[in-house]
Amino acid sequence: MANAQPGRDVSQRGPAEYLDPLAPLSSQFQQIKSMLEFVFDDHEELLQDLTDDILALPPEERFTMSHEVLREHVEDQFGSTDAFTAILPESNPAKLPAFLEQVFDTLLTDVLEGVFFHRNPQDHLALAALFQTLEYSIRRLDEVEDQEAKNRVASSMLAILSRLQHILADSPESLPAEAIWDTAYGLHYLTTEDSGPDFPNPVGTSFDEVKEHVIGFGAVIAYARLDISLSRGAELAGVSSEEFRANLDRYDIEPRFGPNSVAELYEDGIDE
Amino acid sequence: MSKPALVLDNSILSALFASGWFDAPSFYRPDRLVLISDRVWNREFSPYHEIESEPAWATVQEADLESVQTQALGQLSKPDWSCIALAEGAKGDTTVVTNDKALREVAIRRNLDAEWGTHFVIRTFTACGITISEFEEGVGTYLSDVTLPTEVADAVRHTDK
Repeated sequence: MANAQPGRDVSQRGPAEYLDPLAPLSSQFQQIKSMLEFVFDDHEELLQDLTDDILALPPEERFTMSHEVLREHVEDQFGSTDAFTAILPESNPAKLPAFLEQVFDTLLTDVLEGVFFHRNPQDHLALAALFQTLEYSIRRLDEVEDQEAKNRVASSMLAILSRLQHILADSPESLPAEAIWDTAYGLHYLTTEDSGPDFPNPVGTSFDEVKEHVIGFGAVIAYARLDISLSRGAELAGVSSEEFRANLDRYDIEPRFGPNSVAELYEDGIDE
Repeated sequence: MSKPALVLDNSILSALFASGWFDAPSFYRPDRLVLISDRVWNREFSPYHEIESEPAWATVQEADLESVQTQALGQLSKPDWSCIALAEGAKGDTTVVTNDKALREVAIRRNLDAEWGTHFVIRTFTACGITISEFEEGVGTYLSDVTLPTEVADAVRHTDK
């Protein structure tokens, strides 16, 4: 679930553009809204109503039934889902998953850059976990076959996107606790039926514990995607290096130890 | 003239400990100073290993993190930076010994000498700091701890004295 792609020299980069973890959200969301403009007459109002209705649901419904809320709103606006589907070909819906995956990947990449310039970038890590969850939901939509399972995955995605839309409208100074709760719920509901590591249901769990899980997952993503040391990954997760290695094992991520070859082993040229 | 120094990070200390070779670096005294930063020793290594006191073969030394100037401070942990600070603050030839690629890259980029922890182990073994039986007993554990490519692991396993 935490895909790896490290390996860039960051020593000469400036920190200014990576200080605000919410900054990349706004421009990427604008892209999504621009797509909606093609389909809906008053997309702003629809988005607001849809977001409010989804966020009003309790988590166990929000992450499993939000697709029904979307269907109701679409039927309100177009009369039926068939009428809505009829206008979609012009908007090229087949390209939507690829587009969204690219948006989430860009968001993930941008937010992770903050890890290089903050000693304790908890909001960046929580958002990284959130964007990774969204990116994974796109992949799950493609993987699952029956419609009910697709609906549940779509509901998790809608629940998280609604939270992001709400956060953007509020312009908070730091990431609200609800975003961390929703990431934990999203991870739980998306992974209950896959073959990867499970995430516990956050119901009945304290916020501190939920946050620890989400930040810990964010640290694994940071290690998988950035050229940081194992010790730094552990520091981000707030655990020992041994515990962090065990976390990496859960996601089949190997520690980046060297050398890579026998020639590299001896290239240091140090001899007794 | 100052003695050359080796600065050991947690990746190599933990691997030495797991393999039963923890006291192998005692071999270097008095030829080289073996330095461990207090952050690595007190916060990263000793709390998670059954060791009560600092080893006689190493000097645990405080490192001045304020002395390290960098933009991308978040590429490494504070204990990693303390290794860099210790190496940069030491007089004479100093080598950072680590198996971690990111720490090694930063050390080299900052014009410090760096040595793979595994190369350090081989050097210690071939110079009799680790006996043949100790090596044979611990090499499997060492290789599972440092997860190297098969080609490198095979070369390490078949090192001749």
